[in-house]
Amino acid sequence: MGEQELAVELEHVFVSYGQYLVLEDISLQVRRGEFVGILGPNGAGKSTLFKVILGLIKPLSGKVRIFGKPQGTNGVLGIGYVPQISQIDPNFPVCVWDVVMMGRYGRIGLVRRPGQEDREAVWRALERVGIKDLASRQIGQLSGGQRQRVLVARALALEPGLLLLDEPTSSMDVTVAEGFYEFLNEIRDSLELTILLVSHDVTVVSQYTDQVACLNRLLIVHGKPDEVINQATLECMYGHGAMYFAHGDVPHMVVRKPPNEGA
Amino acid sequence: MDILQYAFMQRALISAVVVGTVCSVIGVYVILKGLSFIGAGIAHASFGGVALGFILGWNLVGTALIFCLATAWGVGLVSRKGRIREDVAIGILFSATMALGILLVSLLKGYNVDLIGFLFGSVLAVTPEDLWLTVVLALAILLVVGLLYKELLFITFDTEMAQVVGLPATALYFLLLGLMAVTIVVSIKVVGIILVEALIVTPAATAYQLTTDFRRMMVLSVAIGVGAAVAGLFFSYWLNTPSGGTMVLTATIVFFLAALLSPKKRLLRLTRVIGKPST
Repeated sequence: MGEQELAVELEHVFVSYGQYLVLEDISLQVRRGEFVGILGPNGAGKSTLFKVILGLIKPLSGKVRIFGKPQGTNGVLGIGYVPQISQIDPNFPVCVWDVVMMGRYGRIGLVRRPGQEDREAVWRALERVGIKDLASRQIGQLSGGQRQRVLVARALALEPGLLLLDEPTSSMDVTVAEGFYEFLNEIRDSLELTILLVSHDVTVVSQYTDQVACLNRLLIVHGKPDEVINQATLECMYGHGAMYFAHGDVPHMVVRKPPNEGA
Repeated sequence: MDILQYAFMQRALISAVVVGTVCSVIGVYVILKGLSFIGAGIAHASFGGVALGFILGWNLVGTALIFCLATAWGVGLVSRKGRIREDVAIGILFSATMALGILLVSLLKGYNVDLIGFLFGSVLAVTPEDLWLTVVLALAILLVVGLLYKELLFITFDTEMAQVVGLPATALYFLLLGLMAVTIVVSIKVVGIILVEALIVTPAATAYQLTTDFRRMMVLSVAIGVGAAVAGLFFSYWLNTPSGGTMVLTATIVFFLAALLSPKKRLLRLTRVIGKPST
């Protein structure tokens, strides 16, 4: 496999917060143009994995390469990031346009003002996610799904090659979430994006992604959804009591909490 | 307005306008980023600086500035490291610097009127030199805010994302804390150490009740801040009340009026969404 074909490459990455090991010996390769879902329970280190890829956290040891270049060597590497919606204060006095323009700020540079090119990029991003008509709305006046699209537009305004999304469907109901995944597949093709998505929703993610990685401090498996999602991996991630049902087209699972174990 | 024929009153008026402006501009960031407790901490820390300046016979603004910057950046550093919670760090530093001030004052032997002026403000005692220093520092603050307008907005809204797109988010955060410290030092002569926080927080909080647009919030905040400072100055002259307190109470009344009349009734929503600890 040529280096150019890899969008993300992690080699034996360890991360700790204080004395607590959050990620242990993670090795992961994501090819260009792939849509990868990273599954895992809360506290599995999913968001930390993203922060490592983004260069916000330096791993204790191990190598991180983005499009063949080591992370941290030259600032912006064209990664679009969609944080969890709870990171955003909906009462903050900014409109949709302002938020999407923020995606360009790093590219514009310190002190300088946005130019024509930046304004065009913002319009393109708004159009792409289908919220052009909401440009002047204050972000608190939007639905959860619309607000999520604003964050995607902000990430796209950077014109990235790689898009990371952290629990993007947490504020959506199932039908809206499915539409959102369809939309991600669409922009993956039209913008030639590589997409990494973190979620704890096993069923939906396995339906829409090419590859699934299961994370619970360790990277348990990585492969095609139908190869990966089985009783053994579910138990490994969610503990005994996780039941996997396959009936009809949509498989689903339930997790029964053992009586003596906390959440 | 025959009272404006007095030079001290002219200086007081200019000071009120200048201080009202910078406090309201910085206040917008303070409100939106949830820095009001740090602001109060920085203001109280200046007391130690002022007292030290008296003892050493140095420029009081200079020593106050050193104490304020040290407190602002010290709290910033501690909270970044995450070992001690930010509010705890502020609680410790703010009372410690205050205590140091009290200790130093006791060494001065005897009652000192000037020191009381620093605590509660004495806008009518602003000297021409004070005024110059205030104007120069205020212009410097406004220049920095103007130049880094978009960057300061971004780190206030979403620090992590600002870092992701390649802005020096940490440096900008410390710059914002520094701007707060300078604003406070510039303002203590006018409203005093104890009241300065109100002049920073109240106009911006009032503007927040009235608009959902950042630029408009900034403009409204300045209008309210300057209006309250100037009106407070005249009220204090006519009613023969202390100027700092009168300015602050004027701003407070405007705040409650705005909160009552706010189309959005956001008074109770003035709480920041605190992100869950990320994993």
